[in-house]
Amino acid sequence: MRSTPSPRGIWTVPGTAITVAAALVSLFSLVPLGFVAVVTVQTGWPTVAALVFRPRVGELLLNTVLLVACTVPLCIGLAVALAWLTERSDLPGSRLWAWLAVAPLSVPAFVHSYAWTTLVPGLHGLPAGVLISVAAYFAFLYLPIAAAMRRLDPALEDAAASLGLPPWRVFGRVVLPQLRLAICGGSLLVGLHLLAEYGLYGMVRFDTFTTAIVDQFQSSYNGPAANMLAGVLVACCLGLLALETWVRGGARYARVGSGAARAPARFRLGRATTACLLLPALVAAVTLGVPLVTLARWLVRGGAGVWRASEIGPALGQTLLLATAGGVLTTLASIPMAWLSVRAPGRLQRAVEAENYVVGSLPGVVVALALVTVTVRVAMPIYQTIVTILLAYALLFLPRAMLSLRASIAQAPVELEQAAAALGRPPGRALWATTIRLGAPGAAAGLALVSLGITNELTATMMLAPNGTQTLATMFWSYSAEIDYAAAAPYAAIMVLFALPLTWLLHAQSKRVAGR
Amino acid sequence: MTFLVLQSVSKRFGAVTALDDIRLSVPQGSRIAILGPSGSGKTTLLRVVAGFEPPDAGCITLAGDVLADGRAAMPAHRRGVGVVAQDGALFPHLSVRDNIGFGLQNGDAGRGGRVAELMRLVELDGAMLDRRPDELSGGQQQRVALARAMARQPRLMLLDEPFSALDTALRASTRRAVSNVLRHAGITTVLVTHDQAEALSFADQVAVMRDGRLLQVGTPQDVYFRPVNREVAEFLGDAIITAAELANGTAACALGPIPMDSGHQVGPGTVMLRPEQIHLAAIAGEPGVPSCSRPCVGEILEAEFAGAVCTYVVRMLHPGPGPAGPLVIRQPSNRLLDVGTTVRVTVTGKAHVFAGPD
Amino acid sequence: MKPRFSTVIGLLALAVAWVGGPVRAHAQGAPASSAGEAITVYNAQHTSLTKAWADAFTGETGIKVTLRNGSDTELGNQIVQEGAASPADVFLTENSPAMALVDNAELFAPLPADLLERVPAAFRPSSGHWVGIAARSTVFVYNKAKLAPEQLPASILDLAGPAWKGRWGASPAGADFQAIVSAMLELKGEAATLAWLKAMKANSVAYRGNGTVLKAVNAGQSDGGVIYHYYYFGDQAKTGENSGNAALHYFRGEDPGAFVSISGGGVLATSRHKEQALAFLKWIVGKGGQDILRAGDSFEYAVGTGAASNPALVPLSELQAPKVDAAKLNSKKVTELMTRAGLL
Repeated sequence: MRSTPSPRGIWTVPGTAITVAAALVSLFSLVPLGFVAVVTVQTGWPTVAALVFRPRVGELLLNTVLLVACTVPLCIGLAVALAWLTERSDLPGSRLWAWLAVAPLSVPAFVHSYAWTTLVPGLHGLPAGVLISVAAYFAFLYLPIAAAMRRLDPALEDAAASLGLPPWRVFGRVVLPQLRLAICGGSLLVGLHLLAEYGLYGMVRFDTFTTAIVDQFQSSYNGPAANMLAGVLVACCLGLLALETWVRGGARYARVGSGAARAPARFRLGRATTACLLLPALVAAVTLGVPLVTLARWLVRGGAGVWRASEIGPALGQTLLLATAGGVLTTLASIPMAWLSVRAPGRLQRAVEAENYVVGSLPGVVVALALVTVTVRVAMPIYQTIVTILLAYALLFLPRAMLSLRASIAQAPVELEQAAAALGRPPGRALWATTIRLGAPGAAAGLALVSLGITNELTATMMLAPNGTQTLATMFWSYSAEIDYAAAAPYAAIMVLFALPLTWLLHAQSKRVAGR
Repeated sequence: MTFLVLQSVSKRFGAVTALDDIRLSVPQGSRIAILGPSGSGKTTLLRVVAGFEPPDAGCITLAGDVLADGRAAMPAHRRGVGVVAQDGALFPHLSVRDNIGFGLQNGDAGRGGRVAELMRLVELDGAMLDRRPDELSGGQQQRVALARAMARQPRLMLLDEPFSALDTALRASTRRAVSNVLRHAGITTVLVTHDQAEALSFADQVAVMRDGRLLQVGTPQDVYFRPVNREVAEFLGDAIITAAELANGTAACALGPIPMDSGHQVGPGTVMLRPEQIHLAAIAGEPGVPSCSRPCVGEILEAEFAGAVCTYVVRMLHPGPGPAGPLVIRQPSNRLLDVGTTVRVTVTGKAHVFAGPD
Repeated sequence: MKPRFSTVIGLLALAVAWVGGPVRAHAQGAPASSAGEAITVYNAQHTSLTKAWADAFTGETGIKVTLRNGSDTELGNQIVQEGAASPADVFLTENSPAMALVDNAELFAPLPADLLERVPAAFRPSSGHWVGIAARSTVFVYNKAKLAPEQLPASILDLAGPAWKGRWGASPAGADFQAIVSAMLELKGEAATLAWLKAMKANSVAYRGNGTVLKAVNAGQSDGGVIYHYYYFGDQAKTGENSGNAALHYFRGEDPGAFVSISGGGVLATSRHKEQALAFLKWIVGKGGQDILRAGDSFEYAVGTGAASNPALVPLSELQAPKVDAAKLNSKKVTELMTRAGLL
């Protein structure tokens, strides 16, 4: 059982096993990309060209680009303004506003859309898509930007002031550049959601690649037109990833020097306080008020009749089963990669990790299309089983689990593993007794986030779930598609209630990471 | 000619009084060190002068310009005051070049030349211009921070413990370099530090601060040899403090009669000596009674070797007036003395008499 | 309690098995394997209607019914892809093209005569491989405030004209509308249909779902829309909030727009529970199933021999529908043409 010790000392038996496990997970996660490549080759160039280079694709591309180009800057502006107000000014009730800024995440995107279409029936197209997208997703930018603002060293702003910069220029030249990483990361997340979302745009008649793929799927199952649209959508996602990498550049904003940062002084708003309160109040009204009030209105109108226990019970049970099993599977699958990225970083590990992020950025509809095709053609035994849908969830949500887990493994120093080994534990048990134990909170947080994602997942669930499966999300969707908004309301309400504690966790986690 | 003047400056944070009626004047071109333990309010003093915090009360003027009068304060960016923070506070997203040029006008044609000149001034290699702050050593970061602060030719330079994050060897050399640059440029400087050696070696004037109040302001020699009380004395270095009977310019104490530095006090008092004024010598070949009967003789109870210096605990065999426990005396360790050795204690120079009751 | 590493691995394996276990059972149509007491239905009909059928059927026979819901052509294509391995026992649609799709792939089992007899020949294909289970009529729904009766289009083909630009809507991604197009294709040919679809792309507003079209017309966002009749009657029977300002216009005169679409039901040749599957289909076209059409809230036409439809509806015989052979409706061609027209 002897193995050659390496300088890092990871090539122990579990080290090798973990590497092999990580490699297997990565290989599997190549399935969707491989699917797009294989299908493109199989379809043949003339058909591909006919299906890709047509006006409809141009239309969808234009829609998608406009959606991203309008939504992301609006989200950035709003998130920066709110983060500054809640973190750096003496806005009354800033802790409450901070929580209210994150809370919209507990409302699934298609429920936002449901609320707006019933409030303003004529709302449709790009303006509707942008408005609702901002409401549904701006918190993805608010979270990292607020965290980065909390972490900023106020000494830098003092230094800039002493170098003759008035406050607004200090913000532009010192604060904003340091938010760049947070802005880039958050924008990427928002952008990927914009590309992947189906329900939100389906309801407001705004066509994106994802809605078009679902339309094609409903017309012809996994026909070549759907597959080719999926190919273009994958290209869009990769483009977004490349854009983010390029904008982010080689920026590393490690805090230079030592010593604890002084708690930043809060800017006194003075007479502007009332005006400044309007912004978070307006945002809360749009992002929380509209969905919650609309939901409440439909619940009241539906009365007790819409709480059909015979339908809601099974949907709730199946959602819980899928969310739990999917969360566990995804977290388990993320352990090897997370461990390697902390304990044995290297070029290969980085490449493999990057690949996982690329796959994790793919929309549910693409992953579902790939798994439908692969299972129906070559893996019939798992076709239409819970295994396939769980694998799809794992592919979709692996990065979420990995990020949480990696952060907590990083806090468990390798010395602990070595100490356990020195106390006579064999490597596997040493790993279990130290790092895995200490990583448990991170794993739990990751599991919760994955479960939240699964609860709100619509497209992959509709396309892949076993016969007879109805989740809260699919029930909500089929009722609202039949314009039975009152019957859909209980499902939305349960989803929101589910997500609230998880969103709170997300909020708390981002604060802890920021060290406050 | 006074340049920076603080008149009755006060600042509170909730229940904590950070600055309590601070009065200070700093002549143009001079260097003053604000010395105090952590929590003494010294950094707050610096932040109030820099304009990062407004004072609650009091007036600050710089070359006749009012920087702050009560809560009405000129914002930091209009003061023309340079600041070097504890860890340099370099902008992590900018290169060395852009850090140094940060305060200069962007379109300024002379910007490149000025940056190069500042690099030379702080003795940094021009090859570093394109590096990021996290690629520099701590000492280099501090030099860049100094160059950045000097770029705008500030009227006043504030240094907030700029050397404390550096390791011992680097600290001394960086301090000398910074000191030379500032002296050469003739910039009035305020240094905030908790390190007495740093304060004494750097400044023309040392202000000792504690609990938000200035205890003493004076030249380094003044505060070191003539501290106003025991607290200042001990903060500035090792001190042998003992009770004495004062008369005719002489303090009679456990170490024998020692000339006083001020001749007019009479009666019981407290005197202070610095360890370098004291010399211990073994009384060899004179074992027994005779030596013991002489006044300035003691016995070594403990000895602790620590390289260049050795710390002895000495019990005087004929204690003088007042309570006198064993004395702790540090001596160069070129002649080591064993425990139990009888030593003669010789004092050079004068004993400092504390003005008030100790 | 210090778990050993191997114990932990064992537990993980158990957990995976636990997750995977029910799964396998599900794959084979879980309860089915127990005593042949359950069937899997690929259902493209409205979930509420099929659920009403299934619940009543299960109540009478004890045979459990598991639904997989989807749209006509999605599920039809899915069955074709699955081939012999398909877990489906019964396939129910809203329209005929998907039935034709599966029938052309020779995946349906022939139906016994006593089942076929329950549906008049007009509502089933000559092959006898599937039967009509319900029917729906194409209508032009319009906003009474926006259009006077004399302004209504005489033919669905008129909607391609410039006068209708931006004034009407439909749900082109839905199987319902695609069935109407398949009838047009059958009646007017490929070139005319493609030209009409291209004009539609320019003229119409694409909504998602017929109910949404009705709602938009009612709210005045579009003057009119092409949908099926029962959305209007269903809403009228409930609250009328989405149809109060709207009225229906039947094209009649054997216009492609007067197309009556037959919802189909068939039993898969590969079904492992053929007996139960046939029983379910027979029940649907029998008195029990057809009564649910008449008395329930679906407002689809009943097609069983001698079965009456809901009295609120315009009788089927008065609709002057064009004669179209349901077996010839070509969904693949329709999808292709609509993709070419940029509607998909």
